[in-house]
Amino acid sequence: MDTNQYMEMFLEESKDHLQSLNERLLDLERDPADSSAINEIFRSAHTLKGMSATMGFTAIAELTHDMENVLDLIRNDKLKADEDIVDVLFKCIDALQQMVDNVSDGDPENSVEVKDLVDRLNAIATGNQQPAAPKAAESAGKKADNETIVPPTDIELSDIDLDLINSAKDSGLRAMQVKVILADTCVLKTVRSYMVMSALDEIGDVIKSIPPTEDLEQEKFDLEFELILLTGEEEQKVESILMNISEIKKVIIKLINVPAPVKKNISVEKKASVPAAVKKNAPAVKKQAIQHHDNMKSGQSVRVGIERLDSLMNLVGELVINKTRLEQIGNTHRIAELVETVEQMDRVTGDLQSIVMKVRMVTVGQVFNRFPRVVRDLAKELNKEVNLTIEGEDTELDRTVIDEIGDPLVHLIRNSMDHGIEHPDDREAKGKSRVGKVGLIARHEGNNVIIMVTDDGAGIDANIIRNKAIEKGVITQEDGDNMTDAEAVRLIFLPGFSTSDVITDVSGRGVGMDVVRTTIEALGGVIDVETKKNEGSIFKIKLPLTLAIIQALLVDVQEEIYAIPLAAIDSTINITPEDIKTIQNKETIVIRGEIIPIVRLDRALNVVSAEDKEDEEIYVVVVHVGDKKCGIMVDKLIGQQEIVIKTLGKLLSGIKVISGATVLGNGQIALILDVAILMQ
Amino acid sequence: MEQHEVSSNEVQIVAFKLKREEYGMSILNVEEIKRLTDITRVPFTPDFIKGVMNLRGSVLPVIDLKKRIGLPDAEYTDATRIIVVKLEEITVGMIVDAVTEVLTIDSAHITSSKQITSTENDAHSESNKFINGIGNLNNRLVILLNLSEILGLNGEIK
Repeated sequence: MDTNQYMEMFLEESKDHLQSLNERLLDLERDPADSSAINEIFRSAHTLKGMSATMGFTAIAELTHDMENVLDLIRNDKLKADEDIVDVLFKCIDALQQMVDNVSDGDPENSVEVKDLVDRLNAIATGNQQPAAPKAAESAGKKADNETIVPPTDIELSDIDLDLINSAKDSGLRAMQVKVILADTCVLKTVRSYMVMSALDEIGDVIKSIPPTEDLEQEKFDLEFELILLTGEEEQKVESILMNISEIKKVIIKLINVPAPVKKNISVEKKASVPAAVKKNAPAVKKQAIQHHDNMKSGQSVRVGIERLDSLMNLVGELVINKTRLEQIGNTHRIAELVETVEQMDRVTGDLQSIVMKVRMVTVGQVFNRFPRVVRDLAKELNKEVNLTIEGEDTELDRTVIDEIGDPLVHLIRNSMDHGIEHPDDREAKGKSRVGKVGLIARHEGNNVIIMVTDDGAGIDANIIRNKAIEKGVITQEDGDNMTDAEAVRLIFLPGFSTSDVITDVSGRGVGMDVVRTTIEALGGVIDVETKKNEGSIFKIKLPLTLAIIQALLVDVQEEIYAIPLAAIDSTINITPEDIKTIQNKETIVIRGEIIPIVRLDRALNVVSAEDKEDEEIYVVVVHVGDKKCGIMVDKLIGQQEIVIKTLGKLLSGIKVISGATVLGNGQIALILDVAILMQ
Repeated sequence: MEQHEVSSNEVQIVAFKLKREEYGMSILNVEEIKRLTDITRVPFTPDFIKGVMNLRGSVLPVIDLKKRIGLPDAEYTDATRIIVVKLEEITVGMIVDAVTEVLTIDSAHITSSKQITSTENDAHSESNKFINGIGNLNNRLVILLNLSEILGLNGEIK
């Protein structure tokens, strides 16, 4: 089988499953009785096993198989998920991660040493079994055997099922419950279940399955499933047909005897259409299953390479330009029909454009979700108790930023836990709770996304940093003396300061902080730190929304269009020239008792004014930065719109008052104002 | 491909007009040539920066080449073109009066600007720093521009 074409899919999906394993295992550790967690872990491990076996990565398949044995015991309450077991499972996940990474790098996946892990897994699995069963896999088989003694009666039959069964009986068919148990070595369970289904479809109708068909299709089942079959064949015949399918371990068939329906009238009605009902219903069941499938799909996602999105975006841009040309042709030649059509096209291209832009955005949650695991491991390693809180994980950032931001954040979190959070005993001595708090917070702030890493630890001692910096020759003694504490703390971001040998003797921070800073700055962001002794530190990363989408108000000044970020806008008002009062040579207006300075945008931006129109109505956009307010005078308000922020590029990067540009629907470019700078 | 194999002594030049003079730049720096489109003025920029234009969804700064090298201003015409130039990760549009053709010049026929100006002792005068040399193609003179000076990569534009 040529597996290459599935490679990418395999890698992506493995990553997802490993992530979900990590997350759910954390849940399980927190609450060992969490049955939904263990079920999900089992499912993920199982899918991983199936996928890797199909792809021929036997090492991954074997390790997951051994994990499954342990997981199965936990799932069946035969084993308690204590700390040791969870630790081993975490290590397994790490090993799997390593293997998947190897696969993606083109290295052999089996180069990861897992013998210890396998031994420990087996020890855990066998330690909780009858001594007779040497291997966990066999015990699983045994367990299945035991279960088969229990008669398969747990299928709940709905009224419709009962009606169907009854009417089938009337037409001489038998209703039987078929329990299929797959061999526990079976890898392609979906395929087997499908073969069972199609074999049964040939001799009758399957009216119900447990678990439901869509779960069977997605391998969301263990080694067994049950079906209700309406058929004219004998039980033995059915059994022998099914046993011909490979990897079927056992088939148990039981006839269903349903008491005659109580509601006579309904049954009479159904009787009239017996053969039809039976025949019709089978496809109906299938159809329903397919519909379910579609529903599932709509919530699912498709992975697309970013370069494809880029070219899609470019093509949409091109489309918009051509649309504008058509528009012009329509207008110049006065072709009403063309203009009308183009107007409709306008709407479609506009939507298309904004969707393409949005597609590039991903939530920071994608990065954040790996931190619970990081924090857990580190807390263990450092013998500290740490509680991680995550906020704003649905804040959206451009994909490229997301890809880059992970490592700096890991760094900051590690630092907060290593150097910030004190040992539980020390914390107690200081009168703090034993459990340290580390926070990871993301939110929008004006034109930026803010990501903060907070801790309630010891804080950074400015003096130690200052002395260390002087000692290292990063600053002179004089510089150091003239520095405020806040400035001194910022020294940790300097390159010379953060070599690893500094950290070991300094109780402050500094592990590769300059690397963090460089990465953030490369993304066009800034990083800052606030710290208070014994109260903790806050590392604040401010990232521009490069390529991000914001809501903005478009305004017109002497035929030039500018965008003002909506987040900065308080209100818009209409005034007359008389409303403008001068205070100390500065123009101001009074709104609801508040005196607000105003800025004439045309003057502030040196717009070449075509004419003075003093007597007209004046539009003022009231903006705020922090507590400060300011009114921006414009000629016209065009409207609110979602815009995509683009940089002006290196050549024009020096212009402070413009924070970026955006391409409007008609292909024209509007500049985005940096309100904070404009107010100065 | 044989006949396209430019011998190491030959360079290919995109030739264009500014006023009556013919200028050129290496074809390797030219991404594409566009007709004049909407250009949005950007405040607080030197006067030779015309503004920004939309190049298939991305924002592209546009330089008026005549203003940049100190030639008198003139109206844009139907022949006016924007040459999209890329140099060291910077992409800009340059407005020229007309694009004429692609020329192949033997480097033996290029006189470097040093040779031209050395006698006059003003090698670094304002107008000459933008010139790399002059190509002579059967008495047709093409002034070759120094793009990195024009883009201010040496730190002039701020």
